[in-house]
Amino acid sequence: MTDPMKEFISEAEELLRETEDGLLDLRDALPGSPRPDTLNGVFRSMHTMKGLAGLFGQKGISDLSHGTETLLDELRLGKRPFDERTVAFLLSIVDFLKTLLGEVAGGKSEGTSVEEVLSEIAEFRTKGGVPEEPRGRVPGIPESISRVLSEYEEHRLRTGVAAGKGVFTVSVEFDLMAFEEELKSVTAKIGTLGELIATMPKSTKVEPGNLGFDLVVGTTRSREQMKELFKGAIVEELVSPSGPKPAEAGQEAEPSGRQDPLLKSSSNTVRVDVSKLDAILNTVGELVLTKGAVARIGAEFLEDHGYSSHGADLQKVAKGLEKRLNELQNQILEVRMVPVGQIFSRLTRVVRRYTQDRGKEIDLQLYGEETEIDTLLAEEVIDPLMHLIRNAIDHGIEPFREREKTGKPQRGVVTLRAFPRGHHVVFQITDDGAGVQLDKVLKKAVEKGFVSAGAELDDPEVVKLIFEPGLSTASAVSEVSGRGVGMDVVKDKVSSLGGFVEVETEVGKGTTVTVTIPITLAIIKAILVSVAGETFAVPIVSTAETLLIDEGDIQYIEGKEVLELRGGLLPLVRLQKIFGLESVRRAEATYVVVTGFGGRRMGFVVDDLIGQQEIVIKALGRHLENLRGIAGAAEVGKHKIILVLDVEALMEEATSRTQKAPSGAG
Amino acid sequence: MRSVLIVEDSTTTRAMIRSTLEEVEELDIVEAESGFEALRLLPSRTFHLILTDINMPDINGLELINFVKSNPTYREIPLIIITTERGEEDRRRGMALGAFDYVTKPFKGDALKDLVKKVLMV
Repeated sequence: MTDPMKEFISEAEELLRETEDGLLDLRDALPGSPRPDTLNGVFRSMHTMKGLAGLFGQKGISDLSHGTETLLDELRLGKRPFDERTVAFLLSIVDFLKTLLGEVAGGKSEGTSVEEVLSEIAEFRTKGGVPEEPRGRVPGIPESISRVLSEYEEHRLRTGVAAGKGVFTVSVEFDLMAFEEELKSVTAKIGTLGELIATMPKSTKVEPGNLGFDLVVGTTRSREQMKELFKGAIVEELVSPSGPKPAEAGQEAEPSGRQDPLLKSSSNTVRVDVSKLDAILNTVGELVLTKGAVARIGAEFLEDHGYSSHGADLQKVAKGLEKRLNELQNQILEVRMVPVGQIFSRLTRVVRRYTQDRGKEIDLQLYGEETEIDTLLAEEVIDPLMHLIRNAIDHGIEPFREREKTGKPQRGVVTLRAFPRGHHVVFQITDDGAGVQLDKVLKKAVEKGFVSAGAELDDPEVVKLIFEPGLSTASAVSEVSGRGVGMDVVKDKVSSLGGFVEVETEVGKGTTVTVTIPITLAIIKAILVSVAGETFAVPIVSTAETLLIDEGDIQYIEGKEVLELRGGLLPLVRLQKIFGLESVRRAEATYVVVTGFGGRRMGFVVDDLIGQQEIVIKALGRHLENLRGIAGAAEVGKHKIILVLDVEALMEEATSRTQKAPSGAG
Repeated sequence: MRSVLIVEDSTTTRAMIRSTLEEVEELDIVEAESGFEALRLLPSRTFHLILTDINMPDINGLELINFVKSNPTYREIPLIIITTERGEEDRRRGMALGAFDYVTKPFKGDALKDLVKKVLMV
C-alpha cells in the first residue's frame, strides 16, 4: 500500500474514533440536551472524513460520510431533536464506516455497497424533523459581527437569545506569541458561565505585537456580573438577558446556587487560576524592590549620620523583611510547581497518534515524572520537547528494515527523562536510532556559508552547527520533508526560558538531546556588574564564580584572550566589545565573572562588581525581544533600569565569533 | 519565491494540498493546522496567498478571512476557500467577506494548481 494511503487510513481511523467518543459522550448526557460543542465536534469529524475520503477516491466512504454529515448538520442546527434513537442510529453508521475502512486497509478493491445505508439515512431524515428556524439577522447583533458568523454560530446565537440568554462581546488582547494559553484560560472561564459562540480575531485598535479577540458569549449573567467577572477586558452587552425560559432553567441553573464539586469541603484543595498566582508573585516582586530601597536608605542613613539606633533599627527591620519575603516567595513558587508527569502524559498522547501516522513502532519510555517544575515553564517547554521527540521519531529512529539489518530490535526506543539539577530541571531525549551524520551536516553548513570550506572542526563543533537556522536535522540528515521545524527554533525557545540545549550523537547508536531550564522564572538572584560605565545584571544561576585578576594575568592564544585557571584555560570575553561600548578606563585590576557549567565555561571581563541583588526580570517588549544577549530588564534602586544578560546567548555568540574568526571578524 | 499558507486541520488533506502545490515552481509552502496557528504564522513572512478550510476548531475560516481582510497589513493577500459542496452557505459568507475564490473538495489537482497560478500570476 502506498504511504499516502496509509496516512489516509490512519487519519480516517482517528476521525471515526473521535466521532464514536463524541457520540458516546452525548449519549451519556441524555435525556438532557446535547452539549453544542461536542455535537459540533462530531459533525466536524464527519465533515473532515467526507472531504478526506473524496480526495482519496473512496466513493463509498465519502458518500456515507456525506449522508451522515447531513444528518448531523440538521442535529447541530437544531432542525431535529437529538435522542436515544438518533445516537443508536449514528453509532451503527460509525460501525459500518469502520467495516468499509477495514476493507480499504485490507486492499479489497470492491467494497460493500453503501446504497442500503444511504437510503436508511434518507428514511430516518423524513421522520421527526422540527420546523426550520427563521433566517436573517438576529436582532441586536451588529452587522460587523453577524457577517462573520458561520451558519452554525448564527444558530447558536439565535437559540441562546430564544432561551432568554443575553449576548455579550468580551474583548481581550494578548501578546501575539503567547495568546493561545491566555485565551484558553478566558474561554475556559466563559465555558463555566455560559457558551462561547464565536472567537473573532481582530487587528484594528490593538497594540502592535498584540492580537485582539472579540469573544461572543451567550449567558444568563447580567451586564454588571459580566463586567465584574471580566475585569480588564472590555465587556459590551449586545442583547440583554431576558431570564431563562422554564425549559432551560433546570439544566442551566448556574453556579450561584450549586457548589462546584471541586470546591466541596470534603477535599482540602482549591483550584487557583495561575494568573492569580502570577499577580501575587508580581506584588512580591515589587515588595522585594521596596525592601531593597529600605535597606539602601538604612545604609545611607548610617553613612551620613554615623551610628544611630534609628539607622540600626531600620537595617534590622530590612533584614527581617528580607527573610519573610524570601519565605513568602518560596512558598508561592512552591504552589506553582507541578510534576512534569502532566507534560509527559500530554506528550505520550501526541506521540501515539504521531507514530500511528508515520507507521513506525516506537517505545516511548518516561522517567522522572515526579520532577517538579513551575507550571508556566511546564506549558512553555512542551513545544520544544514535542519538536525534539518528533525529530527523534522522524529522523532518529530508522525504518524497520534498516534496523533489522543493523541487528537492532524492530521497535525503536525513545526515552524522555526528567530530573532536577540544582536550580534547573533537565530533560533528556534519547533515541536508539541512526545518529546524526556529521559529515552531511558539515557539508550543508559549508554550502550555506556558516563555515568556510576547509575549516577544521571537531565533532562537538559540528554538532553545534545543527542549531544554525536552516541546518536542522530535518533538512540536513534526511530528505523526508517534515514540518521543517528546525533545531534553531527549539534552541531559541529554550533560550528564551533561560535554558540551553546540548546534543550528543553517535552514528549508528543514537542521539541524546539535553534541555536544561531553570525551575522557575520570575525573581532571580543576580550579580550586578559594571562595564564601561553601564550596569548589567548577570543571573547567579548562570555563574560559577567571580575572580579579581591583573590585566597581566591574561594570556593570548591565537590572538584570543584566555586566563589560566586551576590548570585549565578559561576563554575570556569582553562585554564592552560585544556591546560596542567605549572603554572608560583601563584599570590594572579587573574582574572576571565565570559562567557556564562543566566543560563549557567562559569568563566575562567586567570593570567592577557592584553587588548581589534579587531582581524581577521584565520582558523588553516586542521590539527589543530578539536582541541577542539580553534576557530582559530589571528595576534596581532609585528607578534605575538595567539590562539582564542572557548568558547562554552571549556564550554562543562568543563561540561563533571565534569559529568564524578566520575572515578577520573577531 | 512566493509564499503560500495552507490552513487546514486535517493532516492528510493538508499534505495532499501541499503535494499538489509542490508541482508549482518557486513556491514556499507553509502549513497551519488551525486558525490559531495561522494567526501566529501570518507575521512571520510576507504571504502571497492563503488557502483556508472553513470548518475548523478554535477560529473558523470565516473568522480568519475577516481578520485578514480587515487588517491593513494583510488586506491585500488573496484567500482561496477550500470547502465541500455542502458548505454552500458558509462559502457564500466567505466570499462576501472578501475571499478571492473557492475550491470544493474533492478537488482536481490541476484545477487547484491553475487557480493558484492565476492568483499568483506565475
